[in-house]
Amino acid sequence: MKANSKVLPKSDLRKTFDTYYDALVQYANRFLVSKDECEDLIQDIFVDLWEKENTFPDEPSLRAYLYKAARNKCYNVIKHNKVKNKYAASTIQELEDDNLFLKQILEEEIVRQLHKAIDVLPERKKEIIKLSLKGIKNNEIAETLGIKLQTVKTLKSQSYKILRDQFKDLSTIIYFLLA
Amino acid sequence: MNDIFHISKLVIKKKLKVLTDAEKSQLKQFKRNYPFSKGINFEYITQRISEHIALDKQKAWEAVVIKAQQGQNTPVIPIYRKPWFKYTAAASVVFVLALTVFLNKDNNQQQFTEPIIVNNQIEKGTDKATLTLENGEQVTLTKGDTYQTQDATSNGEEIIYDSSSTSSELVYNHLTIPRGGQFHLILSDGTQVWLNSESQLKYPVAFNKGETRQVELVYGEAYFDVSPSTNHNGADFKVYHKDQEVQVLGTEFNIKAYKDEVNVYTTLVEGKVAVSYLDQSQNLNPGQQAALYTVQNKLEISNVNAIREIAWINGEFMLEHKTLTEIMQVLSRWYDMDVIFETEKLRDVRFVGVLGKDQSIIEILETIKNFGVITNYEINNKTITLK
Repeated sequence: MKANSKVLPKSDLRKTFDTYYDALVQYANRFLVSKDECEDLIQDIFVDLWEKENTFPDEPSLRAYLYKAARNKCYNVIKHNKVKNKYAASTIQELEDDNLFLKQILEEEIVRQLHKAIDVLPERKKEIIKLSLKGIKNNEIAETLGIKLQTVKTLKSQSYKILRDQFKDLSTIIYFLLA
Repeated sequence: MNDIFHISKLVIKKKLKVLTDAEKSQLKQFKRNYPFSKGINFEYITQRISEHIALDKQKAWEAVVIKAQQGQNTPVIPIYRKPWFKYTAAASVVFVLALTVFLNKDNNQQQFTEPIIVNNQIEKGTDKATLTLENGEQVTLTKGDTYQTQDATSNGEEIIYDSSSTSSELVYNHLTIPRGGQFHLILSDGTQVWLNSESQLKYPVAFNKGETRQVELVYGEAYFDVSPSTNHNGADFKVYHKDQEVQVLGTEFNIKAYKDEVNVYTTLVEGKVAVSYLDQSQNLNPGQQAALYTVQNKLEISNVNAIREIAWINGEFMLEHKTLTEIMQVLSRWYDMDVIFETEKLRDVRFVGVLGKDQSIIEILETIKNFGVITNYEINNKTITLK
């Protein structure tokens, strides 16, 4: 069947990887400047998962493990980095702060889920919804994008509906494949 | 950390103004416990979303696979003890290894018993169909085999009718999809049809120019991407199923009319269609579904998530608040199996999930088991028993 070719091979590890890879790299990027280095670190977390027989009772524990592992990896890199720069000390301090860690994860999770939700929208709606989320008023959006006020209103309300539909029933949902 | 994940959802829902009253008070409580969650700045969040550079995930994943293979000195032995492992095709071993990491709980906390599997003959479905020609001759189409008639060619995964053939008299073919099958069909007018397991479509080899194009979904499920009437001298397209008629002008929609289900569901993805049944007629807008309750003779419209309804054409089962009975009904068509509920109350357990049609039945049952929906299962030949 033709449509089948769009389907990726399924495995939970791969799904998990696809779901969280971006967010984890973004998180690491808060502390490490090089994006390549961040990608490397995060990939290592998945290599560990592949090799070890780690077990997780449910999806949130797996997700928590991923963020904690990312934090540890960043911490170790900075701590053991021979070349200390002037930022190292404050970065270490930041990484050691548990409350700050939770706050950063909260932000990453909001970004991750909103990004995923917005990503299904067509380009124009994406632009509008992002400006609107920033708190920019309709008339300013119209001006910024050079489109009619009425168009902004229509597209905006359609976009919000699509976003709302994605989050409406979430609390009662059990996700099978750690999606 | 669980709280944090929960808060993240609540914060988004608050921003989108879809918080329920219960959630409102939940969020209030959370904010007391985690004061930092009060200060979520959406300007910053949106900034980060915009900065979200799409990383090359495919490449990154390949890097993971390579690193994992290089470092794999010791095979993960315990997995081989799993009784179901030996039933898995060698080709998918790599993925099973990865999968097992998550699916198998620590043996110490394993509260479930091992499944009993005897002579498992349940296989996932493939592309296959039986083509019945106008003279009654039957041809089996399976993946890998090519087939050609005067009007059509097939590579065993799809069949394409020649757009140039014309005839003054309509000649009909039937395409029958067995349990465990699926097939893609392109009619002579360019209309595409995806047919699900246990389905049959009757259609003419060629349509008469300018006349209404008519096909019949004899039973089962089909997704239509209809070639617009403007390309066919305004000829509209009609799909019949028993007394229901769907009239279209160029659009995408799904019809579900299984033999073992009483109701008929027509879901519009794009465009416009009119669904008629006896003296009733309803227009559908995209995202709407017409449910035909054949017992009550009622045609009702509701809003649905159309993408979920048609996930099957992309190789997924998206199960939205379906009961285990309904889920097993869907699965048994694709895996061509029978299901026994040893525990009756399991029948009405509802849940949501995404399952891949390329998974083995054991992978799927293990997933359901690991979520505590069932405590165990048995497989005997082509029958599964849920406990």
